[in-house]
Amino acid sequence: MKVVVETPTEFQGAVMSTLNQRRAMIVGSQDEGPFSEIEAQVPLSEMFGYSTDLRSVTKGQAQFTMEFLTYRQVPQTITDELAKKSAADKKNVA
Amino acid sequence: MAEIKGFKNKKLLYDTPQKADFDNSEFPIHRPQISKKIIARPTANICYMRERNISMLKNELILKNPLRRMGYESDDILNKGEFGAVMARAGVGKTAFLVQLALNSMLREKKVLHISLNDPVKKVSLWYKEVFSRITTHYHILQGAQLWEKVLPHRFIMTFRVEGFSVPKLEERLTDLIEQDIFKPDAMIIDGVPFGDPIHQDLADLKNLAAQQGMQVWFAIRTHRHEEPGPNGTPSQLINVADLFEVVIQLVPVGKHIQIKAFKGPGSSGDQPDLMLDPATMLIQDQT
Repeated sequence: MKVVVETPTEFQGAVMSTLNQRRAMIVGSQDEGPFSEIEAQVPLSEMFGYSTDLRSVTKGQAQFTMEFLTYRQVPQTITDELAKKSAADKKNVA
Repeated sequence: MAEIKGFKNKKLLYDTPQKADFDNSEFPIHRPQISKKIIARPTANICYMRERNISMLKNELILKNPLRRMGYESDDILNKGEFGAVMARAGVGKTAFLVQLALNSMLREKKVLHISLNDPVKKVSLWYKEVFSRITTHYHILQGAQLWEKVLPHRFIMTFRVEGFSVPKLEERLTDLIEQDIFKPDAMIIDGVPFGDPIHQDLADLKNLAAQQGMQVWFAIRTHRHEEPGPNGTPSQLINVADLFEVVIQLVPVGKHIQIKAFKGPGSSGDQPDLMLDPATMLIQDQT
């Protein structure tokens, strides 16, 4: 997903950190005086609950938009985790 | 069963044309035209690029980079902590040249921080996409999209307003990025610094920062037709800060071409290769 966060410049670092924790690839940051705009590409699965996180790190002063960008291959580590989880679920059902 | 006129041959829509289709003048059936040329195209030429490894493609592009002929010691041209500049008049191709330098670094898995004081992130991003697409077209690389996905994480764009840009501010942002393990640049490109103002101290501070972080820094310097050059043909923008720059490359329009000349640095002495910036594609090309 293409995520654009608009935040007061003082929180730029904190916002980048929240995005980084969600496997984001940060494309860039745009300084617009008192406000900054951060553009990133983030997997949709990582974006649930982001608005709460963003609000808490920026004292409610930031907002973000999100739109579909592209499909990408899931990293191998995540694939392995998903496969393990799926196998465990199957076992539990049986 | 009653027959609806015009629809009696409906099942034949995606079959081969039947005489009945054309007989039905009231409701003519328009079939999609399938080009026989596509079906009959020989498959012998499609093959092998798809199977080629992405890293091989990267290496190929690195090896084909015409700047390698300029006679610099390394592919980076600059060493860590050094300054380089690309000088030209407005609209000649400074940004295109710098983007190609950046892409060359990104292909070699070096991280590039592009700072623009003129353009928004979207426009800078478009520059990269466009130049990369032209490079892949020029070298007939079919896996351009996959290669792009691989090199993209090695780039970070930062834009500032000219009046809001300062070295302490940049240092603060850079420290944020490095400490949080988001991005640690190996090279930095700064486009849009107003060299007309007295900026020697700022550049000296920036050089210290570059040396601390082990980065090479490239600048775009806009020259003006009406300004008299200093001694040795040094443009007025560079006279006071020339000591800080290890490499200076000049883009000079000659007729319909834009010639790339090493103005200062290792490639500036002796015979220079005949490199130019193609005005149609803005790609660096070897004329020989």
